[in-house]
Amino acid sequence: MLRHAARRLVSRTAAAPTARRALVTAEVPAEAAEDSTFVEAWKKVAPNIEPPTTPLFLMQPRPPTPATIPTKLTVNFVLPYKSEIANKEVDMVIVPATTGQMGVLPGHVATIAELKPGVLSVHEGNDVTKYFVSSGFAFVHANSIADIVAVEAVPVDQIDPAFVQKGLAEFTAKLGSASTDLEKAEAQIGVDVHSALNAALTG
Amino acid sequence: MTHRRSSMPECHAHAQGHDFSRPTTRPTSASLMPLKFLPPYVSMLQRFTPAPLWEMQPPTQWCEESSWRNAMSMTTTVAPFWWAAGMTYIGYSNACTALARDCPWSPSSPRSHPARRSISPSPSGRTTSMRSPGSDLLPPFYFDNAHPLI
Repeated sequence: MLRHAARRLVSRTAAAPTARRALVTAEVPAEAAEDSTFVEAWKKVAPNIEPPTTPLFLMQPRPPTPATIPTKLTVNFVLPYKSEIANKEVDMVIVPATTGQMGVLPGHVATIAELKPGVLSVHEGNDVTKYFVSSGFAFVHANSIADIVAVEAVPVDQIDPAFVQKGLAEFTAKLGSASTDLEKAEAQIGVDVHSALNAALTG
Repeated sequence: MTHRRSSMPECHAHAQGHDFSRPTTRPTSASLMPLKFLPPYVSMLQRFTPAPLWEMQPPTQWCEESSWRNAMSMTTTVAPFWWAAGMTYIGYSNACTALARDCPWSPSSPRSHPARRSISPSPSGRTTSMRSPGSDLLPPFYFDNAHPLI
């Protein structure tokens, strides 16, 4: 029944050019709200039934890259169970990347950064919001939109100082008594996370 | 809690961007020689891992990408400690998340109410603590704020 529609969709997908470079964030072209090809193929197969709404119908097209550098950076901060920040325009975002603290301003070059445990700070005027991020990824797109995906994020003011000190002492002792490489790595992860938590509390 | 390495077999068909998080610490003899003068099958035979999918392209594109990638691997010789111990970034991320999940102290945090912590066994038999999505929406007077460590 949907053979022709499926064939058209497959051919349309195969015609799309494949991205060659590793770090190029593919620009999703701004398309119409309805896929006219799909609607035409559907009406050929089933003229009496209304075409269904595809996910493309619900997706908003990505805003184009402006010619001049905008004054504000759009931030999306997503957790697995919650959307912390959605389409918020801020001045700057400082992300704890694996390579170091990465400040993202409007007009930043397109980047994909791997996150390590540290403080994510969102600067908007005089207001600074800080989260402790466990790990994840940060995508900076060419149109000054930063998407940050974290597995777990805690507001800095909710961190328990006693737990941090106790955990740091515990994992330091574990690091000293670890025997295998995996146990050493896990103890080192514990020391790194609690040191970053301590730095988040003091700094 | 300790997180062991995943029991799933590691996929060798790496994405292009994934190679940057895992620099090669031991450059092979193929990376020291100019790869433009070697046929692809000779260089692939000397690798330790199977070739990624992007290397199955025409030779000109293949030489460019491979030379650039080997140059990157020769310059960045520092590997993260969790990768040297046999972890992937997913395992490292899970370990960091498990530690960060217990650190907040608030009326709705899972550590302040051990009875409310939900434990779900994963298919391999290991257990991880999960935060329930609606726990932040419960009114605060349902909890007593006694700190277990004080």
